[in-house]
Amino acid sequence: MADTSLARKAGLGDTPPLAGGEHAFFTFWLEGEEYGLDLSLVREIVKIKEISVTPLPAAPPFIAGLLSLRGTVIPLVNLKLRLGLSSAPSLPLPEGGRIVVCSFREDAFGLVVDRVSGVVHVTNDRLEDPPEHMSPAQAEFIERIGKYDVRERHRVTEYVPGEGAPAGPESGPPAAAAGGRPSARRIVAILRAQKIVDFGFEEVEGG
Amino acid sequence: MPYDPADRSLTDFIAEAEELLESLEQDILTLGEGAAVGELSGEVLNRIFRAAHTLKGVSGMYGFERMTRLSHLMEEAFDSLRMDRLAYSPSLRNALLETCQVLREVIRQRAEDAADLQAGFERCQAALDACVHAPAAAAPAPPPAAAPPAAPARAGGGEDVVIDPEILKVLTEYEEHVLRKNIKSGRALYKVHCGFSLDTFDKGLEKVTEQLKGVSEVISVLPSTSSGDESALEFDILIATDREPDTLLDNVEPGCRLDEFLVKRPPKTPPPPAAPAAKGGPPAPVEDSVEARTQASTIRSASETVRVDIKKLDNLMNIVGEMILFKTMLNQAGGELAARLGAKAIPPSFMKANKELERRLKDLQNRMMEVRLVPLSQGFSRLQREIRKLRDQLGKQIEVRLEGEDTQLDKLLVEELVDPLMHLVRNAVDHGIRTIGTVLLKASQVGNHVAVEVTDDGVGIDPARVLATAVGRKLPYAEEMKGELDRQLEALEPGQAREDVRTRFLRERKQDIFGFLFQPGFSTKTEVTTVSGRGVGLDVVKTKIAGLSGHVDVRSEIGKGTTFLITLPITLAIIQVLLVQVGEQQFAIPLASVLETRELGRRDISTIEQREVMQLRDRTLPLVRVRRFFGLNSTRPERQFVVVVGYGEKKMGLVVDELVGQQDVVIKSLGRLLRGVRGFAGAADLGSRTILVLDVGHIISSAHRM
Repeated sequence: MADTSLARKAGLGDTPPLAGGEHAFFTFWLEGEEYGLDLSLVREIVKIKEISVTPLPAAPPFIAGLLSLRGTVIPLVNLKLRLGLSSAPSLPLPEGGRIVVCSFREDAFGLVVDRVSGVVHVTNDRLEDPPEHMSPAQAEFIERIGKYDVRERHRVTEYVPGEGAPAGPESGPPAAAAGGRPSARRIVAILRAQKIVDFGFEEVEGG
Repeated sequence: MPYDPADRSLTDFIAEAEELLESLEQDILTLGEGAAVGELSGEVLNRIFRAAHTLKGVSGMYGFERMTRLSHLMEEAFDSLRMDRLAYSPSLRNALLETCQVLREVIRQRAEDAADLQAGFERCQAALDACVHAPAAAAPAPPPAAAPPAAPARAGGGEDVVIDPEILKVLTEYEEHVLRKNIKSGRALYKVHCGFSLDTFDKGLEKVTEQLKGVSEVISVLPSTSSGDESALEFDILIATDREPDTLLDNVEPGCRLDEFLVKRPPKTPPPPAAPAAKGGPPAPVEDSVEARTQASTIRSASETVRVDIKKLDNLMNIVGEMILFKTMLNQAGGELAARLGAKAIPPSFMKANKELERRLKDLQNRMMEVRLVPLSQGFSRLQREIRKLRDQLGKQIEVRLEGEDTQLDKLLVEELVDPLMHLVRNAVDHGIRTIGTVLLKASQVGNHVAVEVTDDGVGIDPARVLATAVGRKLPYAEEMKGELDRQLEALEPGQAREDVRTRFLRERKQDIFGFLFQPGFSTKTEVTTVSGRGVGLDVVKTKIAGLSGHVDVRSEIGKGTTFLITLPITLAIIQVLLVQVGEQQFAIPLASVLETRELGRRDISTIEQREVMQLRDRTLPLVRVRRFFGLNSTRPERQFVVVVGYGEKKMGLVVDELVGQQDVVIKSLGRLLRGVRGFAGAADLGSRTILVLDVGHIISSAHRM
């Protein structure tokens, strides 16, 4: 991982720190592990049972298909396949799952996830480089590891843009909302959006 | 920054400045054409002067200081031009064009303090300054340098002419200049007196002025001082003309009166040849601001156009598209009701309303598309500029001809088309034409399509060299093609000349060979001149055009020239498609490329060199099975259908499971992230589902390569 610092610099450009050196991440579950993305990239959450997906032949397998969303067509990324967590075919999509609609540098895309977790704020001192023992394939996608206390997590089940900060349906301070949830340390793997949307096409396809 | 990018008015400024620059550049070229024949159109000069003046005003308002300064210099240059203080030289033209280019870049970056712009600013400012403020001796000498200088002290140019000082007072400096010029050239001056009712005077005045321009030069429009009627506005239009006074008003609105104005046509003046352009010194150069002098002429600009962000039109278009979808659903529901309850159960009013709705929606859709249409001249003028720039750089004598530049095309398409066309034009100027020649840019409408041609009368493309390069670059299918030629050469019959066989092969397979030009890797930028340098980056052109649901073709004869032909749908927004079923998925094929459909019989299929073909009447068409092409895993049914698609001479059969029907769809791009996925021109939203629209051009060229 010779280019970690460079990549991190590029990554930091996408993750503007909040006041007080905090970053806000949107987190979700994949195969029992928690992953996060910079909150500013997330546009909305869509239930899989409410949409229909158009298969896109001739695309890489990790592209589950096309999703038509209010007049625009966006690619749907099977994140499990993309991260090498599973090799099951993309379609049909898991019924209870969700699609996290994101946009990175004005390009919109959807991520298929098992379950949405919430929004966490992580201070700079609790963001770390990914562990060394990760497989190279995964290391490409994981920018950093964040640590947080589960009581600090805001739950989000539905997030529609333009309806205020995604503090979630449970408003109020997180600790109170958690209703005396016991303190528990969690870790979340922060994904590198730029890598996810780099579908590996050459500019001009040869031959 | 003195401005906020989100500021709406900045967007307005950008749009306005862009438009002004566009018209400036166009007029600079027009002036150049005029200068070549020794005549600068006064009308164009006035228009261009005003454009520069307005640009100066708006850029000043938005705090673009350098832009203001440069447009001020341009304004000065145009003022000097129309006052004949300056001749239109190539160096002036280049300075003006470069200034426009730098300003365009400012607009593009929405800022003028970028470091890379500064050198351009300095250069343009120096160049313009040199042209405008050069001492008379250094300035491009006016042709008849020995011409007697106008007597500056006298009021009039002719011996017995005295201009009414009352009139002189109200004329702008420029108008006075035009007046004197006309007196000097022996034209007669008249005042045309006309009156209009208060509520329609602007239109009436405009009409009369236009009519007078046909027979004379209009010097100024002055409110009449001898007004008698309270309910009317009266004007005196000051004109100069060679024509006889008795027929002058024949084609002008009735009610106008011709008054002689001060000067008679001197009876015995020998007809002076229209003195070209510049005269000596101007009569007492006036130092007062240009603004003050031109106020009179700029005040009356009644614009009837509204500028709209293209995204807003896109949104409207999407809504129209969705409405049409719902309309289709209504129709189906009506049909189902009729089937279930009997046709009588459906009230006639429902059917009628439905029909009307359909008609109006179609109308709305057409109007919406019309709104987005702009003449191709918007793009052509940029190309024209590029050609002239290149030709001057390369020292070639190249004439540019435009045809059909009024052809209308979707605004977005025009923008998208400029780059690929620029590429073709550069190729033509750089490599197509050796030293002298013509480049023709031609557009025409054919049904729902627009054809755009870039033609040169240069050296042409040699198929033999294209084939050799393709083989050298190891392009797919090149080796096979070469092998075919070699076999024919080996199987030479007695009495047959080797060269004849070669020539015939190259002639017959020319179009196939030219297909290599568009393949990626045919030519790289560093190896420009292999095949007369042609084919540089043509794959990029092709990809781009395919992305616009279009198609590009080439025709060329050695020694005669080359034509690149681009065919595009007029508008991207709504297209008619044929829906087909393959396995579990439906696809759409643009109806514009569908030639016919038929059931596929087993006996129709044969194979040539392991490729499936079918016999259609007397032609052999390659067959592509959509299922196999996209690697769909579903079993093939008993019955299958062939959709014959194609452009021009390239035809093929697409094998599908079922023909579903025709439909109007709104086509959406797959977006930047999926740009590498080939074979689809986009996706169409059918309300309940989204289907993929096949890129027929891509499939055809892949099939020809397979």
